[in-house]
Order: sequence, then structure tokens, then C-alpha cells
Amino acid sequence: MRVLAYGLMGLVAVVVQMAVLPVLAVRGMVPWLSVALVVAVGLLYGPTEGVWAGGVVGGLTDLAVGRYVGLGTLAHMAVGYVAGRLAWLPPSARAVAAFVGSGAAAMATRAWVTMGMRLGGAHVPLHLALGSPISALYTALAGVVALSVLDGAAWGRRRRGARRRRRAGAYGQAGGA
Amino acid sequence: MQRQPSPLRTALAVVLVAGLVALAYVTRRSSAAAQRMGHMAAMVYLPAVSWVGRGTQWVRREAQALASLMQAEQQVAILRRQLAAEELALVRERAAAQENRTLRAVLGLRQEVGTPSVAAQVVGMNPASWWETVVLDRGSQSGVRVGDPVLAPGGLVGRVFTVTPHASTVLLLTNGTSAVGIQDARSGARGLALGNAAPGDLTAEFFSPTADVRSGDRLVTSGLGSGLPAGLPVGMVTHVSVTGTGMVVAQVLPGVDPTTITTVLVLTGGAGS
Repeated sequence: MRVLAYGLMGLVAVVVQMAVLPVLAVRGMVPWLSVALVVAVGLLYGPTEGVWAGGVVGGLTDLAVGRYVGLGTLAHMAVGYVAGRLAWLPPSARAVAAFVGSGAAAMATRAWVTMGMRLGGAHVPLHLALGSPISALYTALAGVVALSVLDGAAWGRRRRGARRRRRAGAYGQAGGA
Repeated sequence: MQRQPSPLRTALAVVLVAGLVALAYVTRRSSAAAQRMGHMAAMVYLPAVSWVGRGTQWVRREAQALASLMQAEQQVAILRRQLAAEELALVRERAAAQENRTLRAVLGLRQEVGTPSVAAQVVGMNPASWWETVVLDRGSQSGVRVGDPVLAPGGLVGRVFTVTPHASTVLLLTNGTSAVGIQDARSGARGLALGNAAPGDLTAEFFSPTADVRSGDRLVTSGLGSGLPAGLPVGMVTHVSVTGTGMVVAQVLPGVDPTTITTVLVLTGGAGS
């Protein structure tokens, strides 16, 4: 179930990344949505969920590219783990963590992938490893948005569950009477 | 107290990392296996990307069209304002040119008449029947007196009817009570031009039953009876008829259109000057 949920999330991330975000590009730079999503999951649900999300979402993103499959997956998993280690933060500080974490994660992931590709023999200019500040900033903003969306979805799920439990309790009392 | 990771989990993590690194190394080049994987993934996400991409492009186009429309509307509003300003300026320019022409004509008329005169502006008209009386911005302080003839480029307008120190009223030729002695400039036939209380229409009644009057003849003041100087243009004959009593009657088009006069000349020499 967890894999399915993250798979769906990864698919949405890939589709949005490829079909929607290019329209919102600033000087050709777009946010790295998969990284932002993994940071948000890690911050909300802890390191285990962060690693799972990173594995599935990163794997799907890698598959969509079709080359160096696993390099980005590994980076996403690491990002999810590190973000998950910050899940203890109070909700008020999570937005800041999502902003800073997503920006930093975007830069780190790019550096990792670039270095990995260079080691694999790809001719990738070294300056690409640093990435663009605009892209990092954009990803940082996307991290805050992703955190808000996932947090809102979780809140809605909790509320529906509580209502269902209350209703079940009321029926149980009526049956007992 | 922090929980220590179990050796099994650590081993699994190491294997996972090593496996992913190996996978990345294997798929670093475009191999058949990598192509198959890529193809399978594409089968899943490409249709969705295609549909969403089309929707996004549609939204983008619509947004751009909307933005263009709004921009165009703003430009239209700006252009309309500019056009209105230009039209206003043009109207003012035309009015100024018209006034200039009128003033030149009045000046020419003044030199032609050669008698003491005062130029005056038409500042008011009778709102009920504006072709009967007009108000001038000159009065007795400027030498205007009751009965003074009032001219405009084209001919006689009427005579001063009432005078105050700074304004005067002119009874137009077309007034229903107006009667001016006239003569045919061609044949010299004499008669009276009577107002019909209608703009652009006078009736001329000639004294002689054998008066030689034709359509197109110019009529001027005769200088007899009405106290006006002789030779002032009055109008042009448009139609001639003979009444049952044998009187020759002509329809006359006044030389001055009372609806358009703005500047006039008052001959301050007085009646009969």
C-alpha cells in the first residue's frame, strides 16, 4: 500500500515535472519536485517513510530518464532519510526546514548525480554540479508547498478517520442498548 | 537513548546502496536492458504527461490570450482617450478657423461699408425662436443705438431693437414684424422685404404690378422708408409669383443665415447713415 501511494506520488511528480513546470520556468529553471516531495514526506513521517518515498519517487524519476538508473534513487533516499531525522521539529518550524532542506537537497542531489555521471564517464561540466541558485530557490519554495499539501491531506485523512470512529461508536452504543 | 540499528538492517542498507550504484553503472550507457526499462516506464508516464501537457498548454494559451485581450482593451481605452482629445483639438481648431474667417469677412465688410461701425459678438439668442432676435455684447457704451443696422458677411442681419449700456438686441430680418425697403439690384424694382418668422425665408412684395423680378436676382436695401442705408445686400430671389390683385411677390433667401452668425457689424452711424 505504501509503495502504491509513493508510486502514485512519484508518477504525479514526474508528470507535473515534465508537463506543467516547464510552463512556470524562470529563466529556464524549474523546481525539482521529486526532491521537494521527498523532503516533505521525511519531515512529516520520519526517516523510514522518507527513505521509502525517496526510493520509490527517485526510482520512478530515474526510470523516466532511463540512464544512470539508481543514482538519483540513492540521492532521494538519502534526502528522505536526512529530512526524516528532522521530523521531531515542531510544526511551526517544519516550513522553514522544508524551505532550507529542499533547497539544500536540490543542490546536494544535483552535485551527487553530476559527480556520479562524471565517474561513469559522462561528459558533464563540473560547474553543473553546483546547480543554479534560482533552481535551488525554486525547489525550496516547492518544498514548502509540498509540505503544506501533504500536511493538509494528512489532516483531512485524520479528520475523516475520527468521524468514522465516532459514528462506529455511536452505532455500537445503540446496538448495546 | 538512541536505538541502535540492527545488523540485518545495516547489511540490507549496504546491499541496497551497492545494488543501486551497480545499477547506475550498468545503465550508464544506452544498453538494451536500459532501453527496455525506459520503454516500460514511458508506457506508464508518457500518456499522462501528454494529456497533462496538452491541458497545460491549453491553459497557457488561454491565459496568454486573456492577457493579450486585456492589454488590447487597455490600449483601446488609451487610443480612445487620445482620439477624443484629438477630436476636441480639431473641433477647437475648426472653430478658431471659422471665427478667423468670420472676423476677416467682418473686417472686410467694415472697410467696404465705410461708415462708423462696431464689431460685436453674438452672445445670446432667443431660445424659443432664435431666428427672430439675437443678443450682442455691445451696447450704448460702444455707441450702439436703437435702429442701427446690423450686418454680417453676406448682407443685412437686422436692426438693433433694444439697447443697454453693455448689450443690445437685434431684430432679425426674418422676424415676423420686420419690414425693410428693398430694390432689385438688376432691374431697380422697389418693394418691401417681410419676415416670415422662419429661418431662411423672406417674402418680397413689389409695389409695381409690372415689376421686373426674376429668380436669382439680388435684392438690396433701397434706403427708402425703413431708415436703412441703400445698397446693403438682403438676399436672393428664389421664386416669383403674381397674386390675384396683380401684385408681384417673390420668395427670398436671406444673404445671412441667422443660425450661423457669430460676429456682426453694427453701423453706429445710426438709421439712415
